[in-house]
Amino acid sequence: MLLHVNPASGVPTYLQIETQVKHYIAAGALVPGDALPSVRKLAADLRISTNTVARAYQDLERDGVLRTVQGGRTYVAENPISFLKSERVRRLRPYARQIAVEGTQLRLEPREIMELVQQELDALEEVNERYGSLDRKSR
Amino acid sequence: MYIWKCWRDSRARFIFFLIVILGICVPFTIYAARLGGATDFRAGGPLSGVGHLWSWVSTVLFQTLIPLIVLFAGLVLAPLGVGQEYKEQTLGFLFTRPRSRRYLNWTCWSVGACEILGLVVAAVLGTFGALICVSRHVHAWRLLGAILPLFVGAVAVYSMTYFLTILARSGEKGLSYGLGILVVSLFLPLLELQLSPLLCCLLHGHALHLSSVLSLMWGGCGWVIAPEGGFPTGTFVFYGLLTLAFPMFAQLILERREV
Amino acid sequence: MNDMAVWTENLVKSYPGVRAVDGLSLNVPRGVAYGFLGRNGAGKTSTIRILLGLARPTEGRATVLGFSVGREQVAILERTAYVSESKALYGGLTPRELVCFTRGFYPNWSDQAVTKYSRLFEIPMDRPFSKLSQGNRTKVYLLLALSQGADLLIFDEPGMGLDPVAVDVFLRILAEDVVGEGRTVFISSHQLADVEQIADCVGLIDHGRLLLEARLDDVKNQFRFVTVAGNDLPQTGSPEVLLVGSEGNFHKYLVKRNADAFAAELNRQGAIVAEVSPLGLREIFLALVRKGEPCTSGNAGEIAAPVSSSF
Repeated sequence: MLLHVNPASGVPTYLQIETQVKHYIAAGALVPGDALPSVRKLAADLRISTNTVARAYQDLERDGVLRTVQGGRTYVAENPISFLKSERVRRLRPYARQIAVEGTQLRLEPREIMELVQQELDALEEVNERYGSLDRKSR
Repeated sequence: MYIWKCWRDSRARFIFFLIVILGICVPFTIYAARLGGATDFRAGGPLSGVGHLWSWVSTVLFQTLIPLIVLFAGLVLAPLGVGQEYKEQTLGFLFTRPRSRRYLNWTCWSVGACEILGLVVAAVLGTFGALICVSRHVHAWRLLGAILPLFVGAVAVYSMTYFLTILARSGEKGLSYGLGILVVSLFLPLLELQLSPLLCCLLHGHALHLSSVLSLMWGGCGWVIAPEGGFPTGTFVFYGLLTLAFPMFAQLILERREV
Repeated sequence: MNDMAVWTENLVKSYPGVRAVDGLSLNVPRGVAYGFLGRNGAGKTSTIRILLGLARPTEGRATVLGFSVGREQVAILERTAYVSESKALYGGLTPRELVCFTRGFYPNWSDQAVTKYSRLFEIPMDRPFSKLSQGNRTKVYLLLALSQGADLLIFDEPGMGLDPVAVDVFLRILAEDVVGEGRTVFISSHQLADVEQIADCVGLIDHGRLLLEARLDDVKNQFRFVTVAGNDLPQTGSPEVLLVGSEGNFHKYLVKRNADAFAAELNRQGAIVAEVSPLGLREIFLALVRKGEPCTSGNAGEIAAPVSSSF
């Protein structure tokens, strides 16, 4: 799994890792059961502190996205989402608020903002389908 | 490990002096032995009756040349270890190793002191070793006693220069100060004439014979060879204490110093 | 007995005419990478020298790994590796001999580490130290420190003379073998990019005092630049807001916490919030060091007069 982090960015490194892992899963590049590199290996590869990687893994595990087994290896969880819908909605709300604020600041119409979100969702679905079809071909 | 480092620092100088000493003593001994001096050894004193040659050997070597060489070695060997590190600015490294500054100080000092002992033993054995082995005189072993005054005299000068090196934070300065003090101290007997009455009062009438280091060495060696002369005990003890005092002062300085 | 890797309380170090360290209270937890940042002459090296027993504090207390600085110094030095700024070692010895000399001091010394790191750093092990380049000298110093098996590693400008490849090797070793093993790293460096990469916590010192000490993640989560357009300076009064720049109509604030609330307040006062942006470490460093005064009414840095809230 090749991740990329930009430590100079204003976004904390652990958040960058979490976002990327979630993105990979959403795009289908990581599927349930896939093993993630150990904390030490990922930290060494990215040249960042193991505490940062550990925090990202812990957050993802708490979110139900990852699962750590007894031996210490971390895997993508089987059923990534196991929360109540209300909880899931609650988690997404800050991002929605951010889109609303940013969009308003940029003087975009609500309609335009919604269109943008829809475009992103469509793009994600397209990628998913493409990987899904590749998967089927290789089997 | 620090012992090894100090040895490496002073190795070249030590070997130089060793070669000089052995180069003087051993050929002379061989020459003297060949002239048959050893077989004339008789009772009375280690060298009495041995003949002019051995007396001459003892006079020239032990009462002139060897003390000077060994004294000079004491001066030159002193800038080693901790004192030298000021020049290389490596004290920041050394003092952040897990050893107390006291340990480093005494280890460093001991290496030099042992080297001086080695030089002195080489000088004595080189000159009188053959004689002691060959002679059947029971007092021949006393010749080895020459090691003591030579060693104490040289190591006193060494200790002083060692201390001065640390005080001045420089090997060169320490050496020059040491040499200066040594030369001045050779005139000490003149000073003693004025000090004696004062010292007598301080010591409740005991006369203290303050002599220079060279006097100690000459007197000590002289006593070994011709015991009637009397051993300069006071001077011996004085310089012995001084030898230990200097590294102690050095330790106090090092422990308080910021690097 | 505290369990901090490094702890100081009101540490003061005075030299004639200057207080190099002026009431410093550091808290470095164990098992983290801590970036110790500051301008030249801010007091970083003085602080480090006190921790290692090379200098004595004028006032205050300090402990390293739970041991008292000064009184239990040898215990500290047994467990602490140090790379000094000057990188001076015995010129006549080769790196191989320096390893031989140093390993005798440390029971936890690792010969495998020496082999591995000397190969990774490509150090010429048999050339006398005095004949090595600055970069190679730094590498030798790093080699000695990394092979020591220390619980705490203190680095003062570890990147000096290192090319980017060597820096990358060094960061990888730190990530995998040092922080990865639960040991603590304390880096004092001007290379903000490298510190930002590996550090969990940062401590920013200026004129001998701590301006900021926090987890880098928290800083990045909470610190924001807020750029505002408005004719008059809006009233704020919070110590967590610094005015960092003004140009005509525009004012730029560094907000340490609750930037959204601050932006909302400005909106309420009628100003236009042009941007709320996150900060990298370099921007944080420059903003805090250049303008250390909180923005309160009547004290607005370059703008002398207090302002009303009307626009």
